[in-house]
Amino acid sequence: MIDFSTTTAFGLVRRLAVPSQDSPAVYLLISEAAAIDAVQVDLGAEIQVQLGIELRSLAVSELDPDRLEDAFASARVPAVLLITLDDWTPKLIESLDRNIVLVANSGPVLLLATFELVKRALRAAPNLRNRLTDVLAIRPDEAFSDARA
Amino acid sequence: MSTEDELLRLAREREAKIDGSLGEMLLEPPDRLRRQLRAYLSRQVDRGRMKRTDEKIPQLAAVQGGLHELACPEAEFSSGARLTFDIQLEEKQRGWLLKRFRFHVRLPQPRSIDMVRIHLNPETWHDPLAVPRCHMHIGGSQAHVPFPVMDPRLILHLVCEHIEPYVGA
Repeated sequence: MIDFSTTTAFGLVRRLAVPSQDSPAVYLLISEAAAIDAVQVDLGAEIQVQLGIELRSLAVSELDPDRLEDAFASARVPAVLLITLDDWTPKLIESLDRNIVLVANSGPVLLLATFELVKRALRAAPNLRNRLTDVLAIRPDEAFSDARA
Repeated sequence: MSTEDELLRLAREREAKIDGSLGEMLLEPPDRLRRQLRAYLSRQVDRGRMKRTDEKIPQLAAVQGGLHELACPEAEFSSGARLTFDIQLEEKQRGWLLKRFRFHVRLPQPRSIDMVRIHLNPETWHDPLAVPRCHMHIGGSQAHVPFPVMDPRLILHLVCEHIEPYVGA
């Protein structure tokens, strides 16, 4: 596996806290399949605590590739959009690639997937690949230290 | 009633008010409070007030008696002052309540005061005139100066913005 920088939701949201008008934030995040739920929870909590806005979380099954603009339109309220690629859907990846300007202009967008799906997405979506702010491995936060009870 | 008795009566009234306000002060759940305190410390780093802090600070742990503890073993200010704190939370039916905290600030040379400690004890002492449940120590003194009880996020801000920069300077 290619070595990507590893971060946590805390570190990633620290980056989002410094927005740049010239380069809208679109991150591709790689997670172990078993950790995806925990990463989603961490992202939601950190976005609320650090940015004071909500995380709008969508799974690919909730997105219609032919009506992508509908999903992004409601992203006009301040929010970070998280799309979890929980299945390989070539039509959706192609649609995201074709609508890259819409994606990039929708505020911070986070795409979360396993390494296998990320590899396929990077191959299949050259426009998206070119507009990515970064590709990062993400792991869950370690909330609890060893219990001393 | 003697003057000492009058002071003790006032101290007991103060402790009763503190107990009452602690019972009404619902805090965020421990994991969310941990994230809030961590974000606050990282903003202090961004502003150059603190040196880089560990992402794992504060650490959350379950401790005896069903309490949850948030601990910051050490954070260093750019001035060289050092902060440690621990906060214990207790889950009740209505939500999370503050049980105890200790904030210690060790101030660098050549400050005229080397340390400030703010403590909330887990219980009211039998002699609240001598040891108020929430109190402050200045320097190495064992004097317990009554201190208002407040949300730990406010204490952290007070320490970072009002105590560390000015005490003993």
